Amino acid sequence: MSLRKILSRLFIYPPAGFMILAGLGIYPAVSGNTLHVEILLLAVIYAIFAMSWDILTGYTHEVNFGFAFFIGGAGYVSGACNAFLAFPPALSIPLAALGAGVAGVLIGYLTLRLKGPYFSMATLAFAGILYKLAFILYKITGGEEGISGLQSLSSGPVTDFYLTWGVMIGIYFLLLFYSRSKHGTILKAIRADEDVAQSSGINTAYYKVEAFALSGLLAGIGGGLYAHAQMHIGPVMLSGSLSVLVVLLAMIGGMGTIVGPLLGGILLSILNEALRVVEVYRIAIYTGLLIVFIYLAPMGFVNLEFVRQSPWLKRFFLGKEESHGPSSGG
Amino acid sequence: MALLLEVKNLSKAFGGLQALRDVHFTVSAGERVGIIGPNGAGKTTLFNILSGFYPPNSGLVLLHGQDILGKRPYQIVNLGLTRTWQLVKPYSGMKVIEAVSVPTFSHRAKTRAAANYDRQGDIVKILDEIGLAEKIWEDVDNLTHSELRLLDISRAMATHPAILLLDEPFSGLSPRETEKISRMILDLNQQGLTVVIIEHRLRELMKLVQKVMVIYFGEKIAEGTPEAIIRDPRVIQAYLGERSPDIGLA
Repeated sequence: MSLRKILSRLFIYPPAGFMILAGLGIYPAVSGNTLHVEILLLAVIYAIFAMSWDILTGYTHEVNFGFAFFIGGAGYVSGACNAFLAFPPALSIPLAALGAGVAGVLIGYLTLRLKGPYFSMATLAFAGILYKLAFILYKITGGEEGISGLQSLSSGPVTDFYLTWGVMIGIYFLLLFYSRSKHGTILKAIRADEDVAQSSGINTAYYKVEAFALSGLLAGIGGGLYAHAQMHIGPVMLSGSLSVLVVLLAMIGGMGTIVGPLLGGILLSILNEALRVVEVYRIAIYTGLLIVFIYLAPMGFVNLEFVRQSPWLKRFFLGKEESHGPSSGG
Repeated sequence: MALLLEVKNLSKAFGGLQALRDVHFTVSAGERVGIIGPNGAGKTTLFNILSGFYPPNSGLVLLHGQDILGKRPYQIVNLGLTRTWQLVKPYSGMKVIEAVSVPTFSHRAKTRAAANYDRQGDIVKILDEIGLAEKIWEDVDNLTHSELRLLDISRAMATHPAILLLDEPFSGLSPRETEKISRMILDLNQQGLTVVIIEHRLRELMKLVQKVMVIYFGEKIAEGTPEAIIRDPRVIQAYLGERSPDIGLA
């Protein structure tokens, strides 16, 4: 792809996404506040989780309620590789992500025929198994304590942040490109009616497993980054509450848009930390607000009807529709 | 004319219900064939087997002389047999152009295309032939019932089929819309497409096809030209029942 083509592609992507990426990039450079940088680092990692969840569920509407399986699973693999085999993060994170991708292929294959609540329950069960295993295999996983003392990503929080930020930008554009290519179109066709997609000559099983694998792989990158950025991985990252949180971040942002989960992941994580000024009530206020948001915008804020109806807001939040139909690349 | 589709001794039972029993027929390249029969006769079951959605209990289905039983629906489409659906199942949440682009990603559409495949050109050409060109940027959810049927046929045509199975293309349509779809089917047929049509609206169907096959309780009871079929006593009996003895009422 020529530079000109790449630039013209960037032009069609939503400005809202560029603004949040730029804002995140500028703040740590001008502010010396380490706490704020740490908070933004976590926000960026949660945005990675929400976006990688969205490529499967946002496009096929099969709700993955066990996303912690990929996040925590990769976190533990990456942590164990580092703690026991002394692999540096540059090796342990890609390995863990690869493992999560392969797990995505397996689970994708096993759940191919499941739809709706049955699919969600199967994903929930896989995450539940891994959560229990984290306690049963306590000699490796450290049980309740998890694995501590992992090597940090880099020399300091600011470089940690910029590394993670760079990875998030890569994932964001990869997913935007993927979702606007034939792959995204086919996933949307499967969502509308899988039988009809098959009678359009499409091997639907292949595309579903592919999306599952991609979703798992990217979540694995996020999970590995989390383990090393926090220098710790514990069973919380395999828990149902993390899975539910990822679902909420992506849903409130706006499923099936990639940019919605990016905005949701970043802004809601910042909101959560901002509420620490009222720490005693934080969880109650935060979850209360999430419920209010779901009530106000069940399909997510960027999918609100008035955003979709207004040409300016639509262009700002969702980007430009391609004039030539979906491309065959991706 | 060369044989395109051969069906031999096809049987299918759902538990104790024998949906199809020893059905056999052939379709030649370029033919227009109609399949009729009362409700529940097994017509749609036949389509579901031919397109790979149900496995039959026994029998043989040959497309271009190649056995297609046991192949997955998408593989059968890529071999040249495509179907439409009795109850339109639109790609909701998409635009018309996007919906018709889905089949252009199939293996068959890609391999049949020239080296520099003009995807959008292909889509526009198909929508133009079928009469949906002005709706190309419309949301699928905003189309009328008859436009959705045309869209379903466009979707099928974008796989570049050799043979198209139409499952009740006229149901729910006005006479004018029926007329429009009939004309379109004739046009596509003249360009070399073989069509097999299931339909309840016999008047419209009989004008359209060259050969009719009648299925009754899972068995083929007659086959012939439309003129012969409408005079066939077995067909009349299947549709209207036997004349009941006059018992002096009224």
